[in-house]
Amino acid sequence: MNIEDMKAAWAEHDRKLDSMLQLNLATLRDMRVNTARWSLRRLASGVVIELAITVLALLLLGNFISLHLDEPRFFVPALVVHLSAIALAGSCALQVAMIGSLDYAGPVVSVQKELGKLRILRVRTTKWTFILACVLWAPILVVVARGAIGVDLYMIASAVNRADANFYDWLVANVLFGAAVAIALLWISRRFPARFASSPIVKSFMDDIAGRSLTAAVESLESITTFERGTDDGSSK
Amino acid sequence: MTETNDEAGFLRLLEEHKGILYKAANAYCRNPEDRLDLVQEMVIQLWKSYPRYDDRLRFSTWMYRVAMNVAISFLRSTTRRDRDTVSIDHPDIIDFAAADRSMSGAGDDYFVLQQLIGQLDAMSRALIVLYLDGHSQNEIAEILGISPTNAGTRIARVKQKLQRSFDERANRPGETR
Repeated sequence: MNIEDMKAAWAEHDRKLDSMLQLNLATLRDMRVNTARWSLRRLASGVVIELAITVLALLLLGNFISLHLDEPRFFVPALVVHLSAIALAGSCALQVAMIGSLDYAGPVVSVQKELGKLRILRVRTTKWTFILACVLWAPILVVVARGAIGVDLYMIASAVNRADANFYDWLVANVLFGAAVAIALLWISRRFPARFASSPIVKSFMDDIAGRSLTAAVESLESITTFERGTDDGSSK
Repeated sequence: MTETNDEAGFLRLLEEHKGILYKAANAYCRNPEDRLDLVQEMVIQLWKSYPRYDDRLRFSTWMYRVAMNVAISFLRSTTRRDRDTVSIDHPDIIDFAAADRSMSGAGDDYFVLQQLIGQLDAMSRALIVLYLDGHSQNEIAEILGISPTNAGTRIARVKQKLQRSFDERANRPGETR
């Protein structure tokens, strides 16, 4: 069989296909009417919600910082969390902008390159959000407890009245503990990927933090760039 | 143009080029359920992009761009979490089963070719489907966003690869075609 012969056969099948293929017009009209419901963009809506929550957190943190400028035991952790939230908000805003500028009717290579960059940014954001959440769990808890319900966790943690003397030790110890937990979970996610594959969402998250998703996304982007340049052999990756 | 005419025009063009949906979905997806989800995503994206359709571009060219972009993204998404749309129970947009039955008489070579196309990388699949569909080198370059020279080189390379795979299958002991 020759590929050129196959091309002629393909055209013949096409004519047959056109006469046999039926579109369900009623379903298409329903989709037209309910576009908003049907085309719920999970990715875009997820990132927008993430951005809205982060911006709200930034406002609350800003207010908290302004109220505790003279109390370093609250000011310092709030500032660290605030800086992390700014980085997360920046990433979310960038993702929203990238999604908004995507035009699926654009040339395939350009669109796929943009999608590849977006995928890499999302994976990196997930990984760093996880790492920072582990490392900063204690500062976050201190700020939330104080800001939301007025509780001074240093007092509880030290269980003595002279909390000021111990708060840095307490905070640093918990940050280090969080870092150790993050490192352990990253190691587990790399060492035992299959153990966490019971749910596709869990598997995807573990792949994100283990770096497997990033590797795949980078390879995918590289393959498109190579295709654009014209230097590979077209084998499936 | 009124909204009703707009919708009617869209449905008419979609009907004229419905084969693109079938061929793009088949090139990137063999699982019947996923294939229906993929067609759903293609139609949603086509409808969303339709207001920006510029008729200086052939509708088939525009439709292929959208269909291929959605299909490649679908192929690359590892879980539903990564996909743009949520599947909702609905009657099928395309009767795949009837179309598959009608193509069952197409001969072994047709199905072998489809299998071999499925082994290519995502971009090469797009390239060869467009080539088999009779698009010129320039049209393929326009749809994919690469230079015509690159398109020509790649078509030749993918054809050679497919031909080799065809020949290997034909020469394999016990292989009936």
